[in-house]
Amino acid sequence: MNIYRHEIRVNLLTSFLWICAICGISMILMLFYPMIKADMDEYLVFLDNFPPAVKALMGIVTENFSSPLGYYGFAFTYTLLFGAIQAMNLGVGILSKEEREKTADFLMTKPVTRLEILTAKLAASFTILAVTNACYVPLMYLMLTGYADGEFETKTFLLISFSLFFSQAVFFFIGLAVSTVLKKVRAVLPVSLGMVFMFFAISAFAVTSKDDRLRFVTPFQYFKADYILAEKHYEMEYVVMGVAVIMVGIALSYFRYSRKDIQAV
Amino acid sequence: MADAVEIRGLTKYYGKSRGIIDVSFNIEEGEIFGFIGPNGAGKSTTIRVMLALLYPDSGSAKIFGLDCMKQSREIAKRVGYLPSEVFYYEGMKVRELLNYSASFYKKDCSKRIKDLSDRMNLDLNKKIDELSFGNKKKVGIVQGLLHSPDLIILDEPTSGLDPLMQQTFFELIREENKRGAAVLMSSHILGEVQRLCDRVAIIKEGRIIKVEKISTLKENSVRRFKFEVESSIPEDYFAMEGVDGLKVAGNVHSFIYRGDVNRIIKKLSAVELVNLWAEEPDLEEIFLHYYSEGV
Repeated sequence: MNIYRHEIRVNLLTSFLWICAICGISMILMLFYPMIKADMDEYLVFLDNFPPAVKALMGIVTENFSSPLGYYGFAFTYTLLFGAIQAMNLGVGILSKEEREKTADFLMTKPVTRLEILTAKLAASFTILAVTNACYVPLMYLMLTGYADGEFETKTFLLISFSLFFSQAVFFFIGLAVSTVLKKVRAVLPVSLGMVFMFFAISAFAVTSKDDRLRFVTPFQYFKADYILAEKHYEMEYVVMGVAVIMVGIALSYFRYSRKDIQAV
Repeated sequence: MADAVEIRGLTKYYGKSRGIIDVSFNIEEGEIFGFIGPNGAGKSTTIRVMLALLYPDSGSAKIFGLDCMKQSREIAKRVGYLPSEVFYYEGMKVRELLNYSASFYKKDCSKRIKDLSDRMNLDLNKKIDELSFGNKKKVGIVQGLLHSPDLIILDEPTSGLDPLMQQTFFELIREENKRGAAVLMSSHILGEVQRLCDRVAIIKEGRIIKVEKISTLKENSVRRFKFEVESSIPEDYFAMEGVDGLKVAGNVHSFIYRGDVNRIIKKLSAVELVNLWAEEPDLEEIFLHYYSEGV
């Protein structure tokens, strides 16, 4: 428990800022909705003139814009992007910072096994992600309730919203596994941002090329808001893929971390 | 008595570059054991394997009869470690850091923390990042001793401490030793090993070249001879077995001699001497002797 408490403590400020950023961005995007709704026809014409690739990149599916929930699905693309960066940062940083800041000697010569250290850090990370989602989901629910006078499908809303947490879990474990495979992570941001934007680019490419195989490669494509809006359920094969990535990530991280040489400073 | 530490054939390579090769030694319970060698000889590597920070390629390391890799958790309860350079979580106060450290051991360490900090003159309310190198080292010392460990591992412990603090630190270590703790201390400064240790392992280029009692190392009939002569003597006059490191400065000659004292006295008696000193060499010289032999 002491490592868990310590991790929560040292991550408190950063996590608070991330929660503000994710909720703030989502809120601002949602605040545009009444405006767009008022001039819907003009917006649709305007957006239809966008090249398909740009539309794909921005997550615009114009047919969905007419309902608040549809617009929410669009806004969600950006929430997910930010959520992915938060989760990836956590994943890449949570173990590697001990080596980078040279505190690994301190922690690892204490009577704890590396497995216990990793487990405590995972618990702390998932607490942070859970709290982020616990702030985000009710906030969006309240906003949508306001826009639609309570007339929207809660199930669809929840399916879209919970995919944030699932996707973050996938990004987190990719980051974690990468950090244990790399010999040394000199700085978290270049690694995590680099990977997130790589996945984001692949995601855009998967949409424009309509190549479904590419969708397996990027966690941004495991839960598609427009699909959920239309079908009211997740796409099973991508859920399985997500779970598989998480499992491999956990296994690889535990395996690598338990045998990793901690070099002298 | 059972051994506190038992190391057998320990080998560790970093990729292709050498770490340590076939290192073996024992530390008895209650012993203060020195580990000496120049930088890069493998002292820290050995210590880091013992602490399960590194995984050895072969060989075994046991502390209190427990395997250093498989039972590191059990071992850590009884081991205190002071790294050569201490780094702690920035933004924490000294007190918080020490309490965090104590929280890993299931016993109340608050009195020890207070006592040790008083002894080391350490301000518990300072932030870690505000501390000087020496003061961080003090935090490290308190942190390494607060749970009354049975084995204390010190990696270059005195760097950064002023002489007065070194004195206090050595006193502390001696007290811990009297309490029953075994001590492993690595250093490249012979003076401090000489002051504190019972036995010493000399490591060079990853290999242990000698494990010796400090007293034996000093006795072992190795003497420094220094003498002044009336007139110059042939350069190769002292080219005989046991003579090493011959230095000539004007009429003053000096060398280290190991072996039967009578032989060298006979040799010396044939020379017209003005003055003669036969001294016990310090460890530094003996040490250099081992090294220059290229064992």
